[in-house]
Amino acid sequence: MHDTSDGADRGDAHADDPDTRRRVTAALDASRIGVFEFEPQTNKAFWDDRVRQLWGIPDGEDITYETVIAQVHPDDHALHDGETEKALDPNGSGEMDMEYRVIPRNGDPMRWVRARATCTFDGQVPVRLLGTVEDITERHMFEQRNKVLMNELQHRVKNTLATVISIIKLSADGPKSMDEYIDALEARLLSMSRAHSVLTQSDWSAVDIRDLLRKEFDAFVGPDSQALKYSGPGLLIPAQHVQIISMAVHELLTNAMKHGGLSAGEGHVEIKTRHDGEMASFIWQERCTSTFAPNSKPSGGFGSFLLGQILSAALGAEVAHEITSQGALFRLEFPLASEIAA
Amino acid sequence: MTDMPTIMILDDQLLVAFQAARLLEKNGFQILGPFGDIDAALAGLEATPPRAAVLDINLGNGMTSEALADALVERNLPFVFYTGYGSANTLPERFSHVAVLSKPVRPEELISAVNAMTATSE
Repeated sequence: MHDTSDGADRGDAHADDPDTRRRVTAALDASRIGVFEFEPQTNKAFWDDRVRQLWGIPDGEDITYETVIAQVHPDDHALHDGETEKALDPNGSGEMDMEYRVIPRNGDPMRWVRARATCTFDGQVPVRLLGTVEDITERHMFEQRNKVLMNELQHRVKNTLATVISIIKLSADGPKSMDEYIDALEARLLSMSRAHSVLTQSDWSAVDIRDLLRKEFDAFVGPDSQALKYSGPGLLIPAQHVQIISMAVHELLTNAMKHGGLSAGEGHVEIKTRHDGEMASFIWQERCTSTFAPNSKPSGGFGSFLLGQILSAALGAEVAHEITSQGALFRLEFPLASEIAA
Repeated sequence: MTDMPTIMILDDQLLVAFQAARLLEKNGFQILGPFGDIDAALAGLEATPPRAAVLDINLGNGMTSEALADALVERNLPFVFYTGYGSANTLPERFSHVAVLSKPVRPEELISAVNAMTATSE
């Protein structure tokens, strides 16, 4: 019991206690929160060191409202004047809370501050506006960066939706039934999703074509399969071409499994790559024991459209696609981006 | 056939570009392109000037379609931007009067934008 009253006494004494003052000062320093007082009737203000630092104004100089507003960004003058006037209005809440830009007089970089204050009144007369100013520049920059990221995300989502719509429409060529159409569409979107994972893992930088091939073969043939035989150097695909090349691999592989070199449950795909500093080449040759009618054209439809015109325009590539006796033979020659050789 | 107006398409999302091309072909237009990069598009413009153009803004890898837009302005050929950005805030001031179609667009909107350009460019 006597502890409580003792505590209360100590609490009162604290305000003048040098230790407490030291702690409050240290806390304000650490928080970078400045304290100000303004007397509207005399147009006199008191600023602590932190507010002076924020405004870039030396010790000793008298502060008036004009000192304050002179360093406020011109675009924020109206806001500052309006909010101050509201806080000083005896019929208002007497509260102020605003964020604005300060251009320090001493040439320091512009900063964002948040000012909060409460006004005391003598009857209808505003006597003292007492409050804090906080440097929120970092938070503000973080928020700006977030806005940019959100905008970029929106862009990517919209582009992805546009691509999905295109695939839905272009996939309508070829399939003989609704079930066939839906299955092919679903497989294409899943392949897009895998390419997206690869891009995310690479932080949207270039991706080795071997990783794209592995992902598709793992998904369709199985992770332990020997169906992929790759020889030649890796080819680094720039991020903006990863999606289209991944889709091309998907079309080649599903064709091979449905009616090509991998359809009989055996056979494999030989991939040969080459690059000479200017051009890269990628050859996909299916090998199996069954025989196909050579020289027959690949069937029309989305797959061959993608592996022909679309891929060619996307990469500035030469493409050749034919059916040999052992399955499909697909050649792609495209100009090297400077960073393509793995 | 020879009276079909030619529309140029530049978009690094070639799937989207080819689908737009198909849509326009079904609606009485010929297509120049589609092109996926700015150099190919500039060369294409040099070879066969179109009646109008549909341009994506951002072509990936930091490239944009601005050089082609400038070349079209120089030749007094109309164009619209077709972009995934919700607003045109990435566009330089000099293109502020150019219509922007936001991806994905309804087919009718694309057709009517292209119709409007070819109707006024005679």
